[in-house]
Amino acid sequence: MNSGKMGAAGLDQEIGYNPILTATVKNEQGVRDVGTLSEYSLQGSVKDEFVEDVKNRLRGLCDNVECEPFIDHEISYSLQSSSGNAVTMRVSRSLAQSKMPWQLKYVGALETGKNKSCLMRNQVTVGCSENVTSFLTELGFRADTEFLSKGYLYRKGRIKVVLSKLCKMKEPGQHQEQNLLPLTKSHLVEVSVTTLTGGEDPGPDLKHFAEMLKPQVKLTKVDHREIQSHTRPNF
Amino acid sequence: MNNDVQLAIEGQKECFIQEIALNGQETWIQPMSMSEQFTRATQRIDLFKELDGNETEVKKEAEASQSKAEPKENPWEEVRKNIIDALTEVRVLHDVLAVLNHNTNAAPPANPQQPGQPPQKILQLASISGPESSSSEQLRAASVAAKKKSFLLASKVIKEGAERLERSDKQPDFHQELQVLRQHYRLRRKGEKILGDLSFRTAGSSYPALGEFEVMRDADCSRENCPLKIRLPHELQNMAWLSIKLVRCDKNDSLKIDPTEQGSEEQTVSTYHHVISNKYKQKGYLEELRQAQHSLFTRELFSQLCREVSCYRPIVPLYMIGDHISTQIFPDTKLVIELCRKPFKAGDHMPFDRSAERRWFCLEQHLTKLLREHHVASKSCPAPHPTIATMGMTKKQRIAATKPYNLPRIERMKKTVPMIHKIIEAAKHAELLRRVEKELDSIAKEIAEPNIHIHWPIIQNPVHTSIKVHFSVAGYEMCTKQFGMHSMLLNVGIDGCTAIQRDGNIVELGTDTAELRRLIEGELLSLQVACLAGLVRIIDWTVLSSSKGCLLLAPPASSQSITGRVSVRTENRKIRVYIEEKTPSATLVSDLLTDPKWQVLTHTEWREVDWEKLAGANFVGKMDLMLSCLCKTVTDKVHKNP
Repeated sequence: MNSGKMGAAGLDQEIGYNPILTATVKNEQGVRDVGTLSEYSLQGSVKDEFVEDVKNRLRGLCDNVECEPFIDHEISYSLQSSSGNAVTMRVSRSLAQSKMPWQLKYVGALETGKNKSCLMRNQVTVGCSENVTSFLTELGFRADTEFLSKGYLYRKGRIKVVLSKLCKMKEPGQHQEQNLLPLTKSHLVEVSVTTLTGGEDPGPDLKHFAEMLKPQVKLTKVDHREIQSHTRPNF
Repeated sequence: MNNDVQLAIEGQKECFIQEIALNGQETWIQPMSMSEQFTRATQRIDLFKELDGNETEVKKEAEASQSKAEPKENPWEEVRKNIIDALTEVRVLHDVLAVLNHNTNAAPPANPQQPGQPPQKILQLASISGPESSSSEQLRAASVAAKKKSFLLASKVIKEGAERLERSDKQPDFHQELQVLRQHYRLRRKGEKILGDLSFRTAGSSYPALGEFEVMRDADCSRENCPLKIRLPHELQNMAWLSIKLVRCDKNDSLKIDPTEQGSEEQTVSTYHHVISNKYKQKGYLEELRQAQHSLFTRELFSQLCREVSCYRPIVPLYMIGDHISTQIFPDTKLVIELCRKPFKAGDHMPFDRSAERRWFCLEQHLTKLLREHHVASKSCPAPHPTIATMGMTKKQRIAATKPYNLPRIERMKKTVPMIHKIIEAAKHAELLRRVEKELDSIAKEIAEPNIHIHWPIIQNPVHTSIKVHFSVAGYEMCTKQFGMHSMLLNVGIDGCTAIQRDGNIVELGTDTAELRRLIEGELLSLQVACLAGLVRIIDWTVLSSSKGCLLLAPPASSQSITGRVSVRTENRKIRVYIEEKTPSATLVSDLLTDPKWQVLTHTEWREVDWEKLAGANFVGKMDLMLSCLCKTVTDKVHKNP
């Protein structure tokens, strides 16, 4: 082929199996990026009555693309290690597009820092097949929580805006509309950017976006540990 | 004249029908008598409210009761008022009509009083035409006059409205102009200012340059009598456009920039100038905004190209100097992409450069299309399902997570072909196509016989074109059909052409068009020989053997011919015809071959025929004549079958 003659510089032919490295953010041709990814996010909530206002505001602020409705089913698994620390993994699958691979996500600890404008944590997200649940169970993980999240996805450049309502299923496995019970009377708004660790800080972009949403939603960096340290209600 | 008018009055019956009997008699609900009304009014008074002690309320109640009391005194007051108003209006109408029909000579006709009837007075009008005119004519005349008046009134109203509209058209209105502007660009209000956006951000572009303009009110209407003025950011005040050219250069001097090319504005070409801006004539501010938007797009395009040039390392080097990108695409041709700038003046027309190749405009359009595709792709990335997945991957990349792909395959998914690569390929194809076109044209002009028909496709691809070339001999087209139409498919690609012949042969040609010329010339020769082969079957000669470009013919069996066989060969790009002479049988050369039939191999003399001197339009025609002359008699077959 002609493109072969004029092809790009030869890529390193490494023979190594490293699926995590291939799950990278879109970038320009041929440049390999080696490194971990971190997630920068801000969260907030809005009452159900005011969701339409938020949606209209987001439609104006975000890219000129239709908002994408989604239904996700998320299960979190945890493994109690001998030292007492628990490792948590999240498995998420899409009910709207069931042919898409399931996602397995590990989230690291929150990076503390008073001067940080938003939450930052290391994360690893990979696509996987449907038997990931049995795989995790075999490893020793136990299912912790399970919920359904329904809502809309917006984007603005590299910022992902998720407006979702968390529901629980009355019976496990039944995810039809009539079997869902909303967990709260409000919607969760999460604004996040996933980039390489140590790269350019997307904090100011997120902060600016939060400012623009301020009349409707107050997006802050919520300290999860405070929430987690309270007694967890039984689902 | 007695002006008294007697009127018959009937009080407004507000009785409701209680029932209608079977014989049609209606029973009415009798209206309430005075005492009944009074009782009702007193029942409405709320004594408890009064006791609570609100003085104003008591007063209001008293007033209400008083107003209700009045109709008791004179129930006909309202009716009286209405009648008086009606009378006034009728009097006014009468006066108007009297004025219209004023005729001092006319006397009112006396109405003959019929005995037995009460004297009735009809409203008399002065007649128009004369004392003998009948009342019906008077009425008609009156109605005509009334209609005329009403038409006059209506026309006056319409004319006034039209004048108002005309007046408003001439005067420039800021808000009307703003409305026109809003139909083209997004405007928003920021404090006291009105700002507009002419960038391509909503279309998917992520170019960081500023694309905001400010709309200002111009009270003096300084330009073109327009109350609207636009203030553009500094960078967009200049016109910018891309100029793509293919120029000839020496084989070793790809880097040399011809000093005559630079700085001469007549040589730079752009579709924007030659096609678009010269056609449309819009309002001043719209034209300004359009050129600013085009400049912004061009700048983005050029910056994208420059970024790619710095990252991309092809085998043939790309040179980027200032606003100039150039590369050598063929040993003697180079591609030059240049960003040209010029201060913008509204209404300025660029001179049309007729020497510019139309294919250069196509390249520019192709580049614009590539950037637009880029925008659309960045906008239309599918959303991640489930939402925790990473953004920005195509569907194939997402599904690849569960497929057994190896690393090179996944890397290939991520690879995008840069725009500069695509435009270089398109430029190579354009240049190659131009050369092929020129060569085919010159061949067709030089060679009159046989005929060459070239079919070009209507819809073309930027990197591939298929051309169908047909050959035929004038007057003998039917002859070639037996062997299949002589044609050739020429696929022009990026680095060379491929010629596919009818018999399935594929010939690879390079960028030099002399090879194509050779090929076509060879094809023409074999065509003529093949056409002859088809012809001889018709005239009953036998084809003893044939191959591409060679033919051996034997005369028809049932006729006497002067000579023996005829041989046609192509040698050194020319056709040669040989005729076998029938020599008397000579002595046997060999003892082994005693059969006289073997004499054919050795005892024949072939004489060349200078066929060009024969009469006939083309080779086949000349051969036709020659072969028919070689036979002494026409065969019996022709006579037997009428």
